[in-house]
Amino acid sequence: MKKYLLAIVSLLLVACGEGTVEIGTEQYKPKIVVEGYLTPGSSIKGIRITRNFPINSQPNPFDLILKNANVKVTEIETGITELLSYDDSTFSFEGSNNFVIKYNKSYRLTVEAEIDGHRLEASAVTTTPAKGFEVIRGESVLDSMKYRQKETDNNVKNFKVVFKPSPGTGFYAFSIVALDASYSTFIYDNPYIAVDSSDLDENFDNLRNQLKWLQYINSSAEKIEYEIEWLDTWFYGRYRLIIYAGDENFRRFLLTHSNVQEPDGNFHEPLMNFEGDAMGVFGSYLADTLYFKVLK
Amino acid sequence: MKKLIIIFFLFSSLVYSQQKGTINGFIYDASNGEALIGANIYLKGMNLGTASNNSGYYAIPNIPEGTYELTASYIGYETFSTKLTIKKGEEKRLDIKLIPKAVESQEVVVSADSVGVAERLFNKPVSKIDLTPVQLSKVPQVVEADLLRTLQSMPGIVPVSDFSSALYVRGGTPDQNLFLIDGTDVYNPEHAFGLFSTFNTDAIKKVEVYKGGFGAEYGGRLSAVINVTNNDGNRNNFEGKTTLSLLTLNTTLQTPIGKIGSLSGSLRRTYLDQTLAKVIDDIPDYYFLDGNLKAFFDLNNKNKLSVSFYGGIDNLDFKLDEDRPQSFGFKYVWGNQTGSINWKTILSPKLFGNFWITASRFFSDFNIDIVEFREENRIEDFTFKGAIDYFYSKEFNFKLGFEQKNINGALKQNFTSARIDVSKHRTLYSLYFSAQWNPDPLWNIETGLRYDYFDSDKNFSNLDPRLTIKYRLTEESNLKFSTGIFHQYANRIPRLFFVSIWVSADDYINGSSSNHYILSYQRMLTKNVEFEIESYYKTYDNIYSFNPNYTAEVEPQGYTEDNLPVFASTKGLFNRGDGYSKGIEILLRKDAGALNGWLAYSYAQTKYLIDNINNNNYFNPRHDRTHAINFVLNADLNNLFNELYGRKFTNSKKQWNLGLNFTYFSGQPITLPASVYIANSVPDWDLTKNSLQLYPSGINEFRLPYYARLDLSINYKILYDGWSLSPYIQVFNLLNRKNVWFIQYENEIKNNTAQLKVKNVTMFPILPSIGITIKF
Repeated sequence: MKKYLLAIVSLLLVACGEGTVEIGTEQYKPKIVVEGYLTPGSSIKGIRITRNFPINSQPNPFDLILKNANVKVTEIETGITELLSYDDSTFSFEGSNNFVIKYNKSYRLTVEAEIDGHRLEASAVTTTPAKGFEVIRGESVLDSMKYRQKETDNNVKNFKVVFKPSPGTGFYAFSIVALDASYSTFIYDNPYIAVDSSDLDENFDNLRNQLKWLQYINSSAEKIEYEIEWLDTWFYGRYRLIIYAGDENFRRFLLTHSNVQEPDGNFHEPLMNFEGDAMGVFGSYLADTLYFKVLK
Repeated sequence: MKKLIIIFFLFSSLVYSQQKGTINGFIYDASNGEALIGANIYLKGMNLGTASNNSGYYAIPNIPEGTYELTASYIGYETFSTKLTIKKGEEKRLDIKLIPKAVESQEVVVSADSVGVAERLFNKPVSKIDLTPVQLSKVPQVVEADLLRTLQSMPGIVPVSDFSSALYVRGGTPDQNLFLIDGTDVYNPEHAFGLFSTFNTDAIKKVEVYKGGFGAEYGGRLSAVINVTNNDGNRNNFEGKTTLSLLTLNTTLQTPIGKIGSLSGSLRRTYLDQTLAKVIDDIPDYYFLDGNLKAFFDLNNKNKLSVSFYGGIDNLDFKLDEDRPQSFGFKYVWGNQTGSINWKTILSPKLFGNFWITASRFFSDFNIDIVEFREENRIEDFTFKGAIDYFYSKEFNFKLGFEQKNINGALKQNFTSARIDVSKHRTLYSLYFSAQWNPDPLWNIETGLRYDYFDSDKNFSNLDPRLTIKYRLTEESNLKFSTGIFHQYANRIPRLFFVSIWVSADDYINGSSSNHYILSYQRMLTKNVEFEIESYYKTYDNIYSFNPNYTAEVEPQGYTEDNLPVFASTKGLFNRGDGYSKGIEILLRKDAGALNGWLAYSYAQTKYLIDNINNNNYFNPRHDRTHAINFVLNADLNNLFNELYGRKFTNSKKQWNLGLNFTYFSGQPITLPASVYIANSVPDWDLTKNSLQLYPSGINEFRLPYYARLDLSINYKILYDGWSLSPYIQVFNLLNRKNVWFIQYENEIKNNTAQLKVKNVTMFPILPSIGITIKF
């Protein structure tokens, strides 16, 4: 009888309580983090070299910068190499003004750095977009508009960008930033969802910075039209729209780096184009900046 | 010379068999005329036995002249026994009507005849589980009885979470399971976002589950077969059953159609949309409705025809904020329809034919108006198939079959930046042959060969050999071995809470294959307790795992007039891989008496090697559960002490029944973030909490805490004048264990430090529910 009682008590104990997950540092592996892009027609600027950190640590972001890293960019076709130097004012590495990035060329970034006593190295290659990307300002609808302004046929009017794609580049990212974003300029009376100040606290950055993209578009097309949805503007005031014509590395990073958790909670690897001990992005783009304004 | 010997042997065998007699016929339930599948028929003293096939038909050929005692037994029925005399060359037709046991608790009883139990164990195919509707209804579940959730309590079958009724059988994924309802394929057998199955337990006559090593008559899937046969209908009387649970109202009616046949129909609908959703805003406007209709006709003594339909629909109309005209919302409608016509014919006492025309259709429509997103997902299948059983001699049985499956699949998605437009027609031709050889009463050897020709963008043809060897160690125990090659030409894209999309093998996806090796030992411990231990090893070649980064890896096949990409192929949708599963399962099962149920333990390990994932290293998939313990207990409280003290069972008009279901699983593997890094999505953004990015550990390197749950049901049944009324209480997760589903993270940058808050997301808490069943 005691055996049965013991079995029943064990069963009951097993079937109650709470499972908890402790994430230790056993799976942590130090890696170099690269956040850098090349822009044809310019010298190399803003290559950020940092390190990753374990889940439960709380580092100062500025302490993560690998100022002593050895960072080089090589034009693959010519073999010419530029050694980048760290700039304290921008917290990033940059090249000299003599090394200007060309259109439609491949460049290799190599990084060597010491983290936690380990010498790490990594490299990545980007191919810059070809010349040709151009916003057709005459056909674009920007400037200013009332929030969800209606046309004469009673349809809601949208801001619109018309651009000529760069040959061979099918990926275009649209970074929409509300320059006047504040609690007072927030559009509370929107038709989508009720938002109170606590929601705004929680999601302020998400609402201010919007990101959309087109990929695999027909890059040999004469022009591409893109309409900005009213779901992308949550504040009254000025907006900055930067359109990036990005390379493959930019595209793969942007589409996958923040979507690493699946609906069932599991994680998967993002697509990053590094060989060696690095994560992040080394890409290239052409960009154009536009402004528009949402009126009350 | 060798050929001559074989021809001589076959001819001699033919002449020899003509000098002997044959008994054949159908086995029926005497109370309602339903044909009984898998009933055991045994000639005492002759060591000759067989089991009725899926049509309830049996034949025992090659019986020498003489007088015999024939017994027939089946789960929950009185054993039938008769003496009969067979003359030389006589073909005796003997249709047997088995009488159900009178006592409720014995509805699930296997025959008390120990020879019957031992025979049933020996006849049972390797890795096969049989379940009756009574057994299904007695396992406590979420809100109401559910076939797939009950199967999750069997050894070797595991779920991935409380929120899914999907079956992971011996390391295989749900798309590797073949679901058949009255012979028709069912493609997405789930209601309510995967919470419940489409199979209405009240309409089911029999469920056969093959966890591996299945015969040549089944193909097209790598892992398992779940074959559901619905009620033909009561041939004797009108009968009905109505169940009202917190979720659904469910009615099943059966009636004879004169003397020629019967009709059975079921209808089930959720009703929350018409009740609670009207007053509680948080309950979505959702319902599902399904129905079965089956007509059965005895055309004459030798021919039977059945026509079966199933239709189900799920409908969800969701709006986040009812007060805002442009609020986020969507409309989602999906469902299955199946139909089959089945003709069974006795061509001769030794030749039994079974022919089907089946049709199956699955559809889903998903619209999000606010972002102009539209999705249409379709799969249609029209199949002709047939099989002939040849009961050639005492030593040999043969089966020959064919199948032609015509499949149309279409997926259309329209959204602002792209189009998906895939429309495909495929044809699968299959031929199979199997032979069963009983060289002596101790041995049974079944060989089979299946040939598939899959006509797709490129064509696939495969020969799948199958082999099962059974050896009787003693009268109570046996040893079985099974092996085979299995092919599959379709994969599905799993979508949590949304129905899956099926895609077929084509230019970018090869057919998948799997080899099974199974060794099984079975023993009858007492006359109604059986013990089984099975080990298996299973390989996978060319399995396809859905690519979570598909948005960045698919490639367009053309452009719209607006120069937006059009996707029309499967390129980039899946990652190819290989793998293996191995395990051992131990089952102690008692189907008889006032206390019945099963206790099961399984050890399993599955490893995948998927191209370009986890640095091309092996990893455990999410459904890999190393240890699993299942304990299912049903107790007829009225007769509990009668059984314990060996007294005769009483048939009270007021009956109490208790059900327990205990489940323990090792924690499932999960990929968690191993580190954090800082990077913005685009170069122009400032450093914010959104700049914190998570980078995963090795794939599924972590394990979640173990999963455990205890469910309880109490059923009170009142019998009155042929009617019964059964109110019940079910409690899912009685002890309210908080089983972890996954981990959620929240980023924060505060006081110049980057922080990550970790939160466990748990599965179902304690879920009590009540209901009532009325039978008349």
